[in-house]
Amino acid sequence: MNLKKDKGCDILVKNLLIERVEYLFGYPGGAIMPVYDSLDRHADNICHILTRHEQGAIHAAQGYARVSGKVGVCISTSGPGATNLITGLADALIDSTPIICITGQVSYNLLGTDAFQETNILDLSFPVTKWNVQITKAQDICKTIRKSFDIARSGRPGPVLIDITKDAQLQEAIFEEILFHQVSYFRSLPKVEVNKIEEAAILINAAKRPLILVGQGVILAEAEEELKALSEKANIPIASTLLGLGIIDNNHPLFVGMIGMHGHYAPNVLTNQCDILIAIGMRFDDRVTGNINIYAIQAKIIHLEIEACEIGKNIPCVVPVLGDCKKTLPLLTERVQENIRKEWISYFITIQKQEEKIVQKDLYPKKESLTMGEIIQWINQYKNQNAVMVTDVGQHQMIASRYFYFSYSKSQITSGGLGTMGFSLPAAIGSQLGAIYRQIICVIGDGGFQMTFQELGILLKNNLPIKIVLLNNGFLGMVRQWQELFFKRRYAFSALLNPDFIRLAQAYNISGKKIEKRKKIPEAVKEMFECNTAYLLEIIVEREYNVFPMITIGASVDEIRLY
Amino acid sequence: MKSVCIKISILASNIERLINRVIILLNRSNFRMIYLNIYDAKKQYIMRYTLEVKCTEVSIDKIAKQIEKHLGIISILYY
Repeated sequence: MNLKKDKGCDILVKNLLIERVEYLFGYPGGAIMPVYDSLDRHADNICHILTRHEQGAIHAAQGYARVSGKVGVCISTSGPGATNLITGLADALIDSTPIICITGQVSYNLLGTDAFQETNILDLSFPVTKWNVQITKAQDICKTIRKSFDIARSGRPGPVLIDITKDAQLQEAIFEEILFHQVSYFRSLPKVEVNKIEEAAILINAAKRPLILVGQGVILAEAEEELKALSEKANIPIASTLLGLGIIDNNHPLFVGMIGMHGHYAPNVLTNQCDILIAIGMRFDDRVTGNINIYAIQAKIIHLEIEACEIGKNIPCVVPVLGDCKKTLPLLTERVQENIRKEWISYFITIQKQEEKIVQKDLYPKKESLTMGEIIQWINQYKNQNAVMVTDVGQHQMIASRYFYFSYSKSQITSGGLGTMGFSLPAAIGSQLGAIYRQIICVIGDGGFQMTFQELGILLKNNLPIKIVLLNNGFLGMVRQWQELFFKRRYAFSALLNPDFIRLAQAYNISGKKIEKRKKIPEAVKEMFECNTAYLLEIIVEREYNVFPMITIGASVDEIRLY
Repeated sequence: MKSVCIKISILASNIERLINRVIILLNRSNFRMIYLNIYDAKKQYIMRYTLEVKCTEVSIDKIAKQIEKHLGIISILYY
């Protein structure tokens, strides 16, 4: 029997279609051209988004994956194309984002010969990928693609890099559909230990001042309702990490705010006063814990986590509960008793009042210059309820996360662990494609915008209605704040001489407006949301503005500074 | 913290470049490697890595967990 053979590049694209890939972000080049040729033939089924830089492609794939819960896919050529993906890979690994990167590679016989655009991307990307693999034969493509998608989305999600040689793309092989069990690897999900859940329930039932800390793990497991059930049954307040925002409605009576370096005052201070700390899907990052030697030493810590190596990595825990929190949370909820912890919950409100001065200063300033907080407040007023906020990194990220009103899960897309400036514009583009019916608000600083603003070209081509709010303070704001606080106001190379951003937007056929006066903000924000196309709203904010509260490096969470 | 010599024995699938991942994890924590030996285990497709490193006992616990989570690592023992 003569079986029909396909080219490797066609097999690759067919496999992507089997995995239901809708969007592919990428940039073509010599070593990946056969795949691009095949993509052109399948243009009706798979939409390729041409970014202006490979970093933009991978951040867009991240944004797409974060907002849709699907695997984001990006594609680039060998050599510089592949190395440009490294930042995004590191970002996706630390923020547990499922993405697949397909990179071209020179032909097999040229490997190791310093051929044109040859780079050893496998060894380069080892520390920043969950898995990486090189395909040198066309017959390996089906199995490898199936396995890669399985690895990227299983357990704690992460990035997978597939390097495919040019001859493998051109060779002919038989296309075979690989079944899941043929590639599923042996350690996808840990077994749930019921005795640990019982131990945890006993501790929670005896607790007087318990506190739940939630992270992005809950969003990845889609266990928002299960978390809410546990919290409401036992009346335990919930505090969230930066990436966990949106898990629970900000107005929920049990939500007490964000923890971390620039988080809310009460949850940070009361972490060091609670008796039981229940950490769910979070990893005790140093920005959350402050000085780990004096972090929650009075509390018994229960850690619900999917990955064994995260348990006890930074903070020792008393009861480790390994497993998917979608499964472990209902088991825990069953075993905890109903409780009213009125006094403990009202204590959060009392403590939080100490932050009132900062909130007043941020949201209702008496000075003439505009603050970032009041802009976010006006955005809250006019945005859609299910809007997604994509932020860059810096002062505006912290202010936006503190004051934006989150009511839906997967509403906060930001670079948390790696802190990649330039993340937000491409990620907003990916997010818009991942959630076509949701409003995407891209809050960005003048520094971060200039790192990846070439991606405005995608808006020009695809007509995506992204709302870009550019908070321009003429400084690398967070760097300047640290220089002011810790380097005796020596502002070394942190001031920026900016171009005319509105004219820049106009060059890309994007409408925009620049605001400098307070009374013009409401009208401008309203106009931005009423516009059906992409819009750039540039707002000149106070130049020397500091984000408070702040836990300084080496300080404990309860030593959080208010000024 | 006092540093000690620790022997690590890893049973792994015969996957290309898997040893690189192990070494990268050890290097990340600045472990000093004293020796490294790789050989076929008795069963097909399975390799055994034997390493001796200089590190603190606390750090090896954490690194061992990180090594164990990698795809292809079957088991890890250290003493």
